[in-house]
Amino acid sequence: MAGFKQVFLQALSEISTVEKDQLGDIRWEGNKVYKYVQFNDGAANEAGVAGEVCYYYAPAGVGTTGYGLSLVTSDISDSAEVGAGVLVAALDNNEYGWIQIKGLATLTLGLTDGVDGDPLTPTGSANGTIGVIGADTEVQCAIAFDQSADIIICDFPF
Amino acid sequence: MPGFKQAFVQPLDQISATELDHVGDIQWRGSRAYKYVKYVGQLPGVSGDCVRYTEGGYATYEVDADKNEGMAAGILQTNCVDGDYIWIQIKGLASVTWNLPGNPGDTLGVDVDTDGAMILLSVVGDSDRQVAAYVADIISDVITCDFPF
Repeated sequence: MAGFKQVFLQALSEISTVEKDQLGDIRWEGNKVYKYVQFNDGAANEAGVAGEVCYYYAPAGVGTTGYGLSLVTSDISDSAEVGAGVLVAALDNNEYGWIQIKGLATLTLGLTDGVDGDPLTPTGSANGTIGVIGADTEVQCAIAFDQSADIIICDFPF
Repeated sequence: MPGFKQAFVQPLDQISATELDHVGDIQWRGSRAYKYVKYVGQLPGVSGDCVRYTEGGYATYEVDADKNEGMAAGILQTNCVDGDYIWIQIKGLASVTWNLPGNPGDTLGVDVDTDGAMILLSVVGDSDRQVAAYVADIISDVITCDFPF
């Protein structure tokens, strides 16, 4: 059936070891949009932290399989530097949860460069963070809304 | 409750001095999306012009056509003045009032030189600038909107 799913089993901040909703589900809450994903802690065993940025999983930085599988990681070296979203809950390896992909979000790891209005990318950033775009080939996934308060406008891919 | 609001009070091409829908509402029409905002500019808004969020305006849903404001917000659907509640187009094809330069697919953003219009980002050579739209048709002055939700 076409259209938008309106009812969801897993709460936004809930963590689950089983797939309660369908991977890739999109959920609107006012101006904010969330996506249902599975977490992989990557080669660095980097656990997910609420408020940190995660990326689509790509082992050793190669490929785009993570997008198709709705599989994300906080280990940037196991990504192709394509931002996935902001973690709503602290996810461990193989757990399921929601990430925010559109609208205002406050990061727990600070924005270390740029000014309000700058486009942001994972490229060149540490695990769980994003920074100002430096080249046309880098993937834009957010805009700095209030740099000093670490608030961004999420614009991660659906 | 999650989901999409389906019924709206104010037509897309109307202005209102009062908030008939809720600022921040998103309305879909096919592959086009519109956002309900408040216009707060001293400069009158012109249908088909690009507006920007005022400082902090993304959170309060306030826009202005003034070139000195912040990041790109959307395309006006109607003429408006300070205090009006309006819809702006944020996704999909839109006809604009200014003469579009460039070629289809070129990226568009805003700068501090022109009220109500967008510029080719390739011309300013600035890779760290917000991409808010793409050139679709330079003959008919049509863009593909990709302003933030």
